[in-house]
Amino acid sequence: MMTMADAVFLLCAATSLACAVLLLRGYARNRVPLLLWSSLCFVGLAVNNVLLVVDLVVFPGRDLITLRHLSAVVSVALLVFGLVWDSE
Amino acid sequence: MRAGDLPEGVRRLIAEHIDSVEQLEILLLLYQHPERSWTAESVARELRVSALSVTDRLKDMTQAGLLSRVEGSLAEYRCAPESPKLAEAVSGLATAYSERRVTVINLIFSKPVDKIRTFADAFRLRRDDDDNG
Amino acid sequence: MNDFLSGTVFALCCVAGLFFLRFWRKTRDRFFAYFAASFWLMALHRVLLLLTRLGDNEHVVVAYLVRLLAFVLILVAIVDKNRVGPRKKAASSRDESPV
Repeated sequence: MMTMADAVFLLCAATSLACAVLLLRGYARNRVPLLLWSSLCFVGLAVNNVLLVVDLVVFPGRDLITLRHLSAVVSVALLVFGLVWDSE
Repeated sequence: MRAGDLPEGVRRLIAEHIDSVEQLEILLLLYQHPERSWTAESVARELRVSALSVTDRLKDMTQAGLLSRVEGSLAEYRCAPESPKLAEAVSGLATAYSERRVTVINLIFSKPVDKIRTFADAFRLRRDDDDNG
Repeated sequence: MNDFLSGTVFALCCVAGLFFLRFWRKTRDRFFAYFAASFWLMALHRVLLLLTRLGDNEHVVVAYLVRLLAFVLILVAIVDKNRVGPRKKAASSRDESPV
């Protein structure tokens, strides 16, 4: 059960991180700010997933929930800002 | 009607290299006279635009591998797409522009597709089709 | 406070999904469809979390499965992007109905 949850959340974290890296690479190539914003979003989501592992698996019952929500809000807000600001 | 109906190669060509209708007209002018070599002045006269901006356009498109300088001359250019794929895209563009002018022009003016495309392209792990040279 | 933050994430995910939907319509690139679906699943995840908060513990596994699915969809999008290449064979074999 523990290992299953671990694996799932780490997969999510790894996916986000991969996206972040790919987008950052794209930003380095093309200098389109949209890629930077979305890359930051995925960094945030990776952090969010890691926090989730820590919160639910490593120290259950600890109150990381606000931090988790906050990291999620910041990430998606960055993405939406990028989409609004730079996709036209 | 929709830009999505244009061939993929044509859409890519526009997204990557065509920023204005002027540039499009220059490219197609040279494409339609493959045997002739053109200077900025002769292009400008033909299209009735400024020779100064034509010079820049010619240089840009040479850099992009769409045109090439005539050997032994600094100011003369020809249409010479550097790969068969690019040549196909240019001829596709010529067809599209004669048959569906509005669609092509709209596509040029809706360049956000370009930014969006870089987003999707960022997730492409290998890029063997564009940077081989 | 936490519910408010979670709700914000829900709304922002919905908006991001809408953007990707629009990109999909514009470019006809399936990649964006996957992204749109993924962000909406993240939004759904938030709804399910709220349901579990309201006392229905059955949903907690489902909620995290949905979250997992959201990230798997992003992986699928990336794999698909790299597999399809210049041709769109997969698209034509999937679509049963003539469009």
